[in-house]
Amino acid sequence: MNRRVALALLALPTAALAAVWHALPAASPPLYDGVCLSDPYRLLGHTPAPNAASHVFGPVSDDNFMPSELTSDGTLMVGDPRYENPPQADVLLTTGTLVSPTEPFTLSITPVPSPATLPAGWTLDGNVYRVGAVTSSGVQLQPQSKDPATVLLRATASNPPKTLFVLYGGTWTRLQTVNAGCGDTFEGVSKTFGDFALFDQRAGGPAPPSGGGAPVIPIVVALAVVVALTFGGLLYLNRTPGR
Amino acid sequence: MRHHCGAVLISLPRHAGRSATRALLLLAGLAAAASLRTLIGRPDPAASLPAALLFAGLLSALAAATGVRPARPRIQHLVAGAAAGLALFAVWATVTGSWIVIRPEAPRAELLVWSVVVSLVAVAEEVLLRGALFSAVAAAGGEAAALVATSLAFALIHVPLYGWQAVPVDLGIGFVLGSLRLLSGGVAAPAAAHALLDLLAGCL
Repeated sequence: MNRRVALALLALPTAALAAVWHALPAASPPLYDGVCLSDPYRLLGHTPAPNAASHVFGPVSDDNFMPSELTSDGTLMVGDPRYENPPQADVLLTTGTLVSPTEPFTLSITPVPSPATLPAGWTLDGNVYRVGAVTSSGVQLQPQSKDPATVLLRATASNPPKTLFVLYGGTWTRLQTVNAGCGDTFEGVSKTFGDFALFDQRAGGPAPPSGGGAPVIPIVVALAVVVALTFGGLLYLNRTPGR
Repeated sequence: MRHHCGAVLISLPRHAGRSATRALLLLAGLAAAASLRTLIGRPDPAASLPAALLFAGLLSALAAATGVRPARPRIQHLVAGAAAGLALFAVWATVTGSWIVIRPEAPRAELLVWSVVVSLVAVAEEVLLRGALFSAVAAAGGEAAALVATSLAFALIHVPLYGWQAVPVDLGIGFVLGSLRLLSGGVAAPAAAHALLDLLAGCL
């Protein structure tokens, strides 16, 4: 193939990728690949406990706020036993998300007990996290609708896929949810703060234990046979002369 | 005539039908290997190092069964691939804003093991996709078909791990890596770009 054509082929998908990346939520990865490192999930009420975090911001108008990220780890570092790898909750704010022209405000992420009422037909996965921003005089701030917040929560497992909900004003609202790169982290964009949680559509009850449910071993054996046959077929093709 | 994967092409018979059969076998093996990775790595296959290693081993074996003998990678191809990976990462960082927080995610020993496994998987995927499969499809239907087929395959093998939203991103990445294969004539450049992107993405 002509090098100019190949260079064009290099530029075209890069431009298309830029458009796709721009359209995805803020924390989406450059590619969906690799291997994720993660510690066991920390459930509220268990040891080790999940982390909470808060950060105080100075007064901000809608154009002088720097894009910021607050994770449930806060400022914890590697080696601290409270360190979560990866953080189980994460909120991203962009310029204009929060406006408090005269007062400083505190942004916080706190794991809270599960509310009594959950979305009908959905099963809670992991902790419920309360995300909020409050000024020094106690005024609750909400994201500006034109610059909503991005919230990431880690699930206890990647399968089945999870859906992010926010509880605000007594109502659970389903958010458009995408996988945030590592298999078990999901993200959504929200125009309100409140209580955030991941759910899946299992028909009631907790997830089956690993290895339960579908007959995994026969499927694994069948797939191994397919790989072996494929391997043999490729060897045969490679060793027999072509016509 | 015998070619080399890293330098020109792998050994391929002239008959397009045999190449098409080889391509179909590779696709079947790839699909089975990806499914095995998903099942064995349950409940979180994207975070399973053993499943990832198994996947890399299966892909390498399938590629080797086609007669692929990767040539010694040329420094300029590795540098070009790394530069392309960095450039893609820079485009991503520019487009998505100021969210990049490079921070240590795990103790050093764990990071070292992770880096090795991630690199092995990336290289194995490239040897199979942009090496053996690309050459087989190119011999059967031309390089454009090879570019499309390998990019689609790259996107689809990640669906069980990340869901369907992975397709547009990984399809684009697949086209970039395939174009690197076309430009360089081997798998060293796409492998370098792929591994570097995976490592950078994992360090976020």
